Amino acid sequence: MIWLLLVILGVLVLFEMPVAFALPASALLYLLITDSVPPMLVVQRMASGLESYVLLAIPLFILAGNLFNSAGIAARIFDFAVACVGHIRGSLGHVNIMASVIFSGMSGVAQADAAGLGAVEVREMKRHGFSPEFSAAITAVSSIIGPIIPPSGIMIIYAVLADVSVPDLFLAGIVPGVLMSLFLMVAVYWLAKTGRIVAPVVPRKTRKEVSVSLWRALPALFAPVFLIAGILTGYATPTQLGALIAVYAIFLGFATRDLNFKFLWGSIKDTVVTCGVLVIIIAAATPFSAILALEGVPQQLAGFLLSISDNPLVVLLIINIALLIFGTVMDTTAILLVAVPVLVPVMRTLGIDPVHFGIVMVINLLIGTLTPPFGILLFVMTEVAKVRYRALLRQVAPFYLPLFVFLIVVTYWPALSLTLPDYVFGR
Amino acid sequence: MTRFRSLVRLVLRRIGQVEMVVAAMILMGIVAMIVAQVLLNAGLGNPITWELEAGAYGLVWLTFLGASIGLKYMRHVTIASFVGKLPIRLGSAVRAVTFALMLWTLYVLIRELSPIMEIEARSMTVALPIELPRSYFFSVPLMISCALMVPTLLLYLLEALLGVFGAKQDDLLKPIMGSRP
Repeated sequence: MIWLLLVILGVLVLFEMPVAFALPASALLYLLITDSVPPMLVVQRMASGLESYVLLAIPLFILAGNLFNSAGIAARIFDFAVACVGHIRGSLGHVNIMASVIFSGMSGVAQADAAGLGAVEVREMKRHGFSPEFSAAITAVSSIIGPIIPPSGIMIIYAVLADVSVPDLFLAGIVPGVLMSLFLMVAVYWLAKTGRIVAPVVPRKTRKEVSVSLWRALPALFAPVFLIAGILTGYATPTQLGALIAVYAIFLGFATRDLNFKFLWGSIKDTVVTCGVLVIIIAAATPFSAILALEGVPQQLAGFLLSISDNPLVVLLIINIALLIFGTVMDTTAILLVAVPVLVPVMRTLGIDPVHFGIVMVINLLIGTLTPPFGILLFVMTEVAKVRYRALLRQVAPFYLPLFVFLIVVTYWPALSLTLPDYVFGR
Repeated sequence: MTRFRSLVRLVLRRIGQVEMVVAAMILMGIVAMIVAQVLLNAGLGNPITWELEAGAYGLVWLTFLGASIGLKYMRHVTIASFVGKLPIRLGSAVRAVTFALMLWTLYVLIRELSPIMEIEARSMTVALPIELPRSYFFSVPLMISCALMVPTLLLYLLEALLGVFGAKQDDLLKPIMGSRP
């Protein structure tokens, strides 16, 4: 009867019920029809599902990202990226990617990156003669780098669900994140070279101009350095680092006079709402996950996967394809909440490191935010850049190939993710 | 009917503003507490022992209040499918059914939470300076969040039904607190 639960959820989501309501509604409707478990048993888990100090890092990093945006840091980072890579063929396409890499060290939610830094990027790209559609497309694609390079909201949720260390996951994301940016830069270069995009090159900046832009961006660049140093030394937990970086952003904003109390209040309000609509999904998914567990779905799925093959490479391929398909129609957090408790035990059985699998899963689900019909980043960018959905999709399409190749590379080359945490923490 | 809806919207907006102030205080309180913890631990070697527990409870309250505020901004994660492309009356009917189902979900949650609150109230917090029933940090915030969302959803349901019966769409189903925080 578990198919009934999935069908109800699918119908509710298709009827545009918010995911945070569709998850408990489908669970409660299922219990009403099947009468298998008293609803109280699953409702009780909703609030207690949030009892986690580690999850507290999510609103703190969202706050830090919002504050850096309000404090005009996004524009400074963009100017610095222009000075560094604006002269390469593809120009502001590369700048967009580099700015996202730098900004990813301050914020951990792709949607926030797309809507915050993205607004600056799209405006500047259009001003330099790029089409609004390509500007929106490269901004959407580059914003998924944010949750791969630490800090990362989605990684924190995975860490809690899979019972792995957040610092391990954060460090494991750095090399793949940088590599992904290189894949995307190669794609932009190729698009510009073959004339598929109009990409006016920015004149090479003098050494003095580069130095000035570096000096202006330097205080912001301290934030990711501070974060990585904190993780490496174990001086503070990721949650504490989130709070410290938020306070640093406030001091920096007021010191540079780019932040005032109005913007501060706006950042706080935006954080409250973003946290509310994002983290509530974790609580909302607990009744759903509880029913899956009570019906023995994890064991059945594990048995099914292992009956197809006990070769880790084959199982990873199947899981990747399944996640990519689910990612096109479901919310990232909801998939994590349902899939992680089911898949991680299988991974452990097959000897696949859950930290490596976490990186694969995060990248996979982030690609899902860019794929039709329900790619959330595509919707965000149609709003930010005021472009049509189909036109945006056409410009995003050339990036699917490098993203899929990148996913395969990360999946079948665990050392890419694991070398850094292994080396630093001696795992 | 228009004046009635305007009045309800005004009341809900005021409630939302109060919720926002409370949630903002919780968020900034958490930040201040964690920074104080780090400084006290590093400077005096005297950490705040209840920081972990208070932080986790703060997140619960922040999330549930944020969820209620998010509904007033219509910012909950929704996957846009075909409803927006339906004829106006049919689209409004689908939305009315959706809102009714959301209200039913809240009703079941509130009904089931009452006995849970009693059970949770029997155990107390562990490390906080003041001993409080644990229900204050689990079932109570969830119950309050659900209760705060009910009037918001009732208004949205009413407006969807007005849409079904051919009312002008311009001022229907707009976010109560505006489109952006």
